[in-house]
Amino acid sequence: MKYQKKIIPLLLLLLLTGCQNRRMQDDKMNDQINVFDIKLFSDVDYKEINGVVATEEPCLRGYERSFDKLDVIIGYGFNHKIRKIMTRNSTTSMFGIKPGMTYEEGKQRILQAGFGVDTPPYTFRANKYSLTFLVNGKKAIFGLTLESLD
Amino acid sequence: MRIFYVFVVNAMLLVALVGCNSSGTSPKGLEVPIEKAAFKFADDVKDSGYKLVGTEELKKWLDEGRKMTIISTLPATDDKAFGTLPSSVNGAMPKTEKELTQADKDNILKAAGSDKEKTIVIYCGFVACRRSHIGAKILVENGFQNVYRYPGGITAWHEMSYPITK
Repeated sequence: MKYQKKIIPLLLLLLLTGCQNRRMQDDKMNDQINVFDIKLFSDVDYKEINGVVATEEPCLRGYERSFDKLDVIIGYGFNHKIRKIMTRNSTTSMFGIKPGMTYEEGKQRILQAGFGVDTPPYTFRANKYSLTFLVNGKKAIFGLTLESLD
Repeated sequence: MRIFYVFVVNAMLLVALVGCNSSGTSPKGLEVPIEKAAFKFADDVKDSGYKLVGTEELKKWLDEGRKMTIISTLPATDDKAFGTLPSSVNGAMPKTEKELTQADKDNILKAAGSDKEKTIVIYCGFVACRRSHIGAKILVENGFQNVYRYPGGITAWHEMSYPITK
């Protein structure tokens, strides 16, 4: 009881600082995502992008919307927040990596962005996110999948 | 103080229950998504070259000790979260053909092994999930002769309260 008045504000402060740090990390990460303005953890309910209507499929962790003509898939969690972005569209990029680049070039860029190798050779991880390169037989990246690990 | 703890425990239980979301072909039991999934499923199975096995039949096979390889095509993180069918191995597949890579193909062929005549059962999350279709098709294309797709997947297995490995 004696320390209660000191401990509670301290705990609240720690909690708020933690939330703030996480938000800053998310914002910093999202700034490097250039896929039709789609941002990870956003609750924007995308049903149509640039005139392309999505088809929806269920998944174990929520549901996915596929924009076939754009070569983009958005995965939502049950909380209706975006937990996955997949793109094969060469006009889009993540961390400066575009579909069409070589695997070696993409690897160099993702390591520079602060990611580390998670599941070799194509999945990289930083904080609570993973980025997987979709690589073809010629070792070229034909797509990118960014996912929340929460 | 005791009332406070009772209140906190009850509140946590309520949050946990509200937070629980069911998954499946139509978590809300709506007929239209089930119909859409049924059409897609029928299209996939047609001319695929693999066979189908249901939940109860597969359990019977396991109980009889039938020699087979069971492959989960879910991501390893989902296997960890939801558990797996007994004695299964992981051969994760993407949700769509668009995301399929050579590494995915190599991965499922490795999980299936070299005996092309043995029974292979391949599953994912639920009927509308296409990971198992993509995986089963790759095996058939590579000469595997007894490939079974188990459409109900981990959701149906859970529904029947059959044993899982965690």
